Formats: sequence, C-alpha cells, structure tokens
Amino acid sequence: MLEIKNLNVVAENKEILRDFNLIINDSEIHVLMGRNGIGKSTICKVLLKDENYEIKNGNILYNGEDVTLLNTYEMANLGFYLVNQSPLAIEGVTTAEMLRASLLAKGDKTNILEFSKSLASVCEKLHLPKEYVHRDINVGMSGGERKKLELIHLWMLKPKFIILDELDSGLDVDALKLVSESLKEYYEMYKPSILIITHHPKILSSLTPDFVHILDEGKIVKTGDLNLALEVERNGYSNINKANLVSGQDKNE
Amino acid sequence: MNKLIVDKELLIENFIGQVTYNNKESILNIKGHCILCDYNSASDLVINLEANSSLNYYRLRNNPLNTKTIINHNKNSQCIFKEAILNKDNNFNYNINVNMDADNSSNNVYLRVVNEFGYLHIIANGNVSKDTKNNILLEDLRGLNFNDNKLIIEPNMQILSNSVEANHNVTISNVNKDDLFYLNSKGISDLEAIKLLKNGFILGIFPLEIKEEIKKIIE
Repeated sequence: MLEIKNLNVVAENKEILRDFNLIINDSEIHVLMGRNGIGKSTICKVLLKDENYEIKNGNILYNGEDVTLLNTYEMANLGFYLVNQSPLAIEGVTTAEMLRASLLAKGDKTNILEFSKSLASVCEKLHLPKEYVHRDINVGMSGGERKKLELIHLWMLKPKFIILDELDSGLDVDALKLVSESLKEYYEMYKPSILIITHHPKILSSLTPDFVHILDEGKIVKTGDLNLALEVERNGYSNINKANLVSGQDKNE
Repeated sequence: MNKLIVDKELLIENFIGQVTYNNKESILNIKGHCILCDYNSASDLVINLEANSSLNYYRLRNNPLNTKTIINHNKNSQCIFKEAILNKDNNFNYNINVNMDADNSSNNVYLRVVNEFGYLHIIANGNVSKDTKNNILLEDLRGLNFNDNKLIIEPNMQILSNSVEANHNVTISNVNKDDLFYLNSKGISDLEAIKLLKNGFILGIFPLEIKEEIKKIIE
C-alpha cells in the first residue's frame, strides 16, 4: 500500500503540491486528472525522487515503511516503475544492455539465453521487431515506438507499482489499443497498483479505475469513479460540480 | 582479425584489420580502400591518403600521453577518423591536423574524450588549401568531463577555398542528469548508470562489428 501524507513539494521555488494526500492500496487502479501545469506529473517525479523536486513536508509510506528519503534507484528496486510522458533517447546504450543492468541490480541472475528469449517473446507481444531492443535507447524511434518499448521494460522488470504519465500521448488509435490491452494483461497477471495520469478516459476502457481524482491548487479536490473521468471529458474541468467537494483522502479511506 | 605491425613507415593497400606500431612515430601511406583498427597505440601518426583512396580508422586509447595525428589528403580521397580517448589521470596535449591540398576529398573526424582526473588540451586543426575544389571537412568533437577537471578542446579551421563544405562542433559536459534519472528509474545505481553512459559515449561512434571488442577493452 502506498500512502502519501500531507506532502508539500517545491520545484524552482514554486510550490506545486500542498498538503497532498493519497492512499493507493495493493492492486488498486487510480487516475489523476487535472488541467495542464497543475502538478500531475510532479507526483510521478516525486514518487521516483527526481532531484528537481524538493519534498518540504510530509511523508511517503510504502507497505508501512517510510520511503520519503529513498533515492530513485532504491524506489525502482522496491518495484516502482514510471512510464514517462516523453521517454528520452540515450545514445550509445542499448535497451537490452539497460534491461540486463536493471535485472542484475534487482538480483535477477537469469542467464543471457533466457534473458534474450523472454525479451524476444515480449517484443512479439507488443508487435515490435526484436532488433529494436538492440538499438540505442529510443534513438530514432517514434513516440508510439518509445511507449511500446517502455512496456517492454515493464514486462521484463515486473514492477509492483506502475505510474503511467500520459501514456496515451503520442499513440495512434491502434497503438493505444495494443498498449492498453498489454497493460490489462499485465494487471490481470501480476495485480500491481497503478496510478494513471491522463487527460482522456480512452485508456480507462481497458483499465477500469477504482478511483478517479481531480487535482487542483496542489491537492486533490474531488474523488469519484470512472463516471468522474467521463464527466470531465464531457464538461471540462471548470464545469465540474465542486459543490460536493470530497477530499481524495476522505473518499479513498 | 588480420593484424599489421608498422615499424616506421608502411604502404597499406586494400587492407582490413588491426594495426599496431613499434615506434613513437609512424607513417602510413594508404592506397585503395582500408579499414584499420588501432587499440591503445601510443604512436604519433602521419597518414597520407593517396589519390582515389579511402580509409576508415578506428582508434581507442586508454590514458595516453602527448601525441599528434596528421592526415594528408590527395585528390579524390576519403577519410573517416574515429577516435575515443579514456583518460584516468594523465595530463597531456593532443593535436589532430587534417590537410586538404587537393580536390574532391572528404574528411570526417569524430573524437570522444572521457576525462576522469587529468588535464587535457586537444586541438583539432582542419586546413583546406587555396584553389582546391569540392572538399568536405567535418569535425565532431565531444568531451565527457568528470570531477571538475580541465578538458579543453579547440576546433580550428583554416579554409582558404570557397568551394568547400566545412562544419565543426564541440561539446564538453558532465553526464546528462536526465539520462542518469532515466537509468536510475529503471533500478540502476549511479555507479552502474554512469558506467553505462560512459561506455555508450565511447561506443556510440564505432561500428557494430568492433563494438564488442572495444567494450571488452574499456571494461
């Protein structure tokens, strides 16, 4: 279980999250929505301990342990996995090399033949030529191919807590369907917790959320179910009924 | 891989393989089409490309000392010179001079320098003579500098002809923080991530066929 308590986060001297609270139980799927620039991606970066974001107050607990001060690779090795909005390209380092290093860091001693076999089967699952994993990370790849590669990493690293930061951006209809189905399959197989940052409920047709939260002014201002996401799509953020504001924490608890 | 040992001066014709040097100064005269790999030599080099010749030269050096490389072009000659230098703690100067005195030639220099602890001063000179035509000259020079040590890379071009395509670029930086965060977010520690990025920086310029060999050497 992930528990974020009264989190205050600052980046470049600007307060982005203020008294942010959220509880995500094991195997729950949560969605975080909100206007552009409101701090949705900040949550992703904070959970993965990006140095550009400073936690001023509050705590992050995972399975009862305080993980507020852990660094990025320690969080990753606890099972946290972030699919970036725009996965970057790294020249000179291949995807296969990176995945091998990641698995070794997790203490996985799979031999190279087994590793190559699983990698090839995951590539097939995501309809991506297996040669792609022997190319430099994301170099020369389209937005859609990059997202598929991120899912290849996911299948190989088998995280327990997945954060999807606008996974749907840069994906065409077919690619979005393929990626969503693959995530659904992963969810059904391994039952991870998932936090989805999105503007569009399309992806939620495969991954039905337990909770949908609206973020505004640094905190969750409304929590509901899939219907809330559909309401946002219909009416926009400014027309959401805020008369009935329920804090994410209250509703979630 | 074929191997060739150079004493002082050698004519190399249509050869693909590894080259080693017995002397502090060596002269290579290139005829036909050659691909040469040079792992950790300490020799000053003069490379003369005969007319209508081509050369791909791949060089890797660990902790080198002062050296220089001179590449002289004759007409219709092509040279791709790719060199990676890993410096642990030496202080040294390195000069690369490319001289294009004839027409229809091209020279591409790719240099990757990783400096851990040391002082490096690298000067890359490209000279294109007056009244020459249709030459191409490119210098792509990059440095990865750690521990606030001194790494100076100077690209100089003296172009005396109007019929030339010339480009140069230099970058010197530490490891990119976004790259580091990305690798960390996959569970890779700083130490391992920096090792991957360093190797990637070096290996990025070499062709697939020799990457494994170079990887073994640098690790």
